[in-house]
Amino acid sequence: MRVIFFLFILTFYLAAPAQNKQLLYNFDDLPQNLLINPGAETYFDMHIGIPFLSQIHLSAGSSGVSMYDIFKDDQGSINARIKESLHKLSRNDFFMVNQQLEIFSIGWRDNKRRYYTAGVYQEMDAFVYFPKDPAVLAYEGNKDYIGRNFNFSDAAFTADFLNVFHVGFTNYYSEDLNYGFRGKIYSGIFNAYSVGNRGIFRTELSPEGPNLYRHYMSGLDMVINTSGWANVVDSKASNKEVMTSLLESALLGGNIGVGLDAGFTWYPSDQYRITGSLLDIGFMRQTKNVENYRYYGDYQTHGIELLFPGTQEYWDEWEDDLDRNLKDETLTNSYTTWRPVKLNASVDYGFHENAEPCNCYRPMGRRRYYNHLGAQFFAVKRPRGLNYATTLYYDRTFNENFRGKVTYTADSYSFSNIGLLVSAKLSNFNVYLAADNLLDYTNFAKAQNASLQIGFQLMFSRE
Amino acid sequence: MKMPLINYLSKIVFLSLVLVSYSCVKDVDLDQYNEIVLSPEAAIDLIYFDLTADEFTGENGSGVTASDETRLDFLDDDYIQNSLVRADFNFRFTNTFQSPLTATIRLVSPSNSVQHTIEVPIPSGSLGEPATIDYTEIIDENQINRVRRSIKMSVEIIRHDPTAIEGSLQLASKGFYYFEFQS
Repeated sequence: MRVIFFLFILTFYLAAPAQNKQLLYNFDDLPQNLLINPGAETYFDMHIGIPFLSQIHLSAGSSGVSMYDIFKDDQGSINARIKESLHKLSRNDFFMVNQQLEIFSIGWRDNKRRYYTAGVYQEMDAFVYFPKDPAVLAYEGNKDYIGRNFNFSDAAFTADFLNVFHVGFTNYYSEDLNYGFRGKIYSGIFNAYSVGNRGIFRTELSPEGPNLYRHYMSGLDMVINTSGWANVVDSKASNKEVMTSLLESALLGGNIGVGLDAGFTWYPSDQYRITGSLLDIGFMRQTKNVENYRYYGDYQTHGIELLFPGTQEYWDEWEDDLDRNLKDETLTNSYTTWRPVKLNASVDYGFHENAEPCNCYRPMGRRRYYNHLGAQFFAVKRPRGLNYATTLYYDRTFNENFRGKVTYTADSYSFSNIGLLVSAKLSNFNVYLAADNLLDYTNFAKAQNASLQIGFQLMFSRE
Repeated sequence: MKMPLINYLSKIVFLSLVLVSYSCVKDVDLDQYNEIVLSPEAAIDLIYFDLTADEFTGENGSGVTASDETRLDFLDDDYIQNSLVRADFNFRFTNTFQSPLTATIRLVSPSNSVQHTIEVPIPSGSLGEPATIDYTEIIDENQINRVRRSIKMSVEIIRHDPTAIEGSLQLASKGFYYFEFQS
């Protein structure tokens, strides 16, 4: 019960974000654009990320409730607000945290104008659906819900902590078309996966039965798969051993997976640009340090029947019967997890031509523009389907060294997400800062999501 | 050319500082966390039986008696010990013996000392017209320690007319358990 309580409270603390990087997408002055579209154009010939600082990305969100909804400082009671939120949220509401840290990144252009990239980044991604029925059962109990099903399939979550090693290239196919691919090797440090749970708990009146109620647990099958966790909680291991094993996992010594990113940029005409990308088409095999916790079975009871005088071991018999029918197991079966595939697509329109002389090593024999107006669509595959976001943006190049972008995004969290990106160069040194949900910036408690990217790198041109 | 660049950079830094310093969490009181109480109310079946005349094997001054008891180990669990604040026990007797009965239900500690006694008189009934008694015992905050100290429930039935052997006594019962889990 305590654990449920803790998880319940935790879900209100964890905001859940999106992996949508609408500010960086199509921003061809930054190499990070290539990570979200390997077929993107780039306006530089080489880049080197400052290790650990070239991209720090944080994003968190909650689709149905904000911290303010629960903790607002008014005359009301927090318990009433929790109860209200509990009933407002649905099983499809979710909480999510995503964090990425570029450890190392490098890129260069060859003589055929192709751009190659390589790098390593660390990623943490946690996604929890609101476990509506279990939460109602824990918070209110079954007394006022006689005859109603509590469905345990509402409980579903995934959590991943991994390193990604990647190499990619962007090919200049023609003046109008670029495409690119990135191969990825995932090196898993920790994974938890609990999707596809099922089972129903129900209490109903039993007018024909021997007692007043009948309690059912039907078709219960709850599984939590973990990999890497057993390592961390191994009580016999010293801190040093734990660190060593974590480091091994981070450097391809643990669970491995492979993935692919693909993308393109197409110019149907001078001023129009269409781009698209699919990211993290990949999977991981979880085979090392795996533990699966399973609780399953069917059971129904009317309570305890006294037989006068009977055995007086009624309780033990009842408990044995329960244990025979509802079983728990800890197994070590390998499992496969699919990475959350992401889709980006956009169309944009450039205007106010930039007449600065072009660099002919690069694939842009076309006119360039100071301003871009565009629309972008984003989707990410989650256990119960796709989550979407749509963004309108205005991208403005002030001069060779300073550029900014403003976005308006509508998604599962809100319809009022304004974001801002600024990127500046000082000689070869570049710094960028991107943040969204600026309208909620004066009070984060009211924000249902927010994301932030910041980075420093060196970028070179051959001119 | 250099000066404007430095200007831009300093603007970015300034902007970030402004954003960071204006960004905060306002109008919320996180200390309310300590006031969070989960107060689920559970409705759970308790004991039941169907008692016939041949199961009255004892005797005392006021009639023949039948007794039994069961351990209720969950009463010893942490969530009962720390968080149970009230319990309502509901007993429904259906009597077809043509004799009045007395049911005595006791909550008993591990060392067999009686913590709480519920006595329910049951009027005489018949096969054609059963007597039904619906009795609820509310054990509130002041008495809840009696439940927490208990581990067994015992039942003793006295049939005051030993000769009325036709019929039976049925019991169905349930408990409402009121919890308050605090952080």
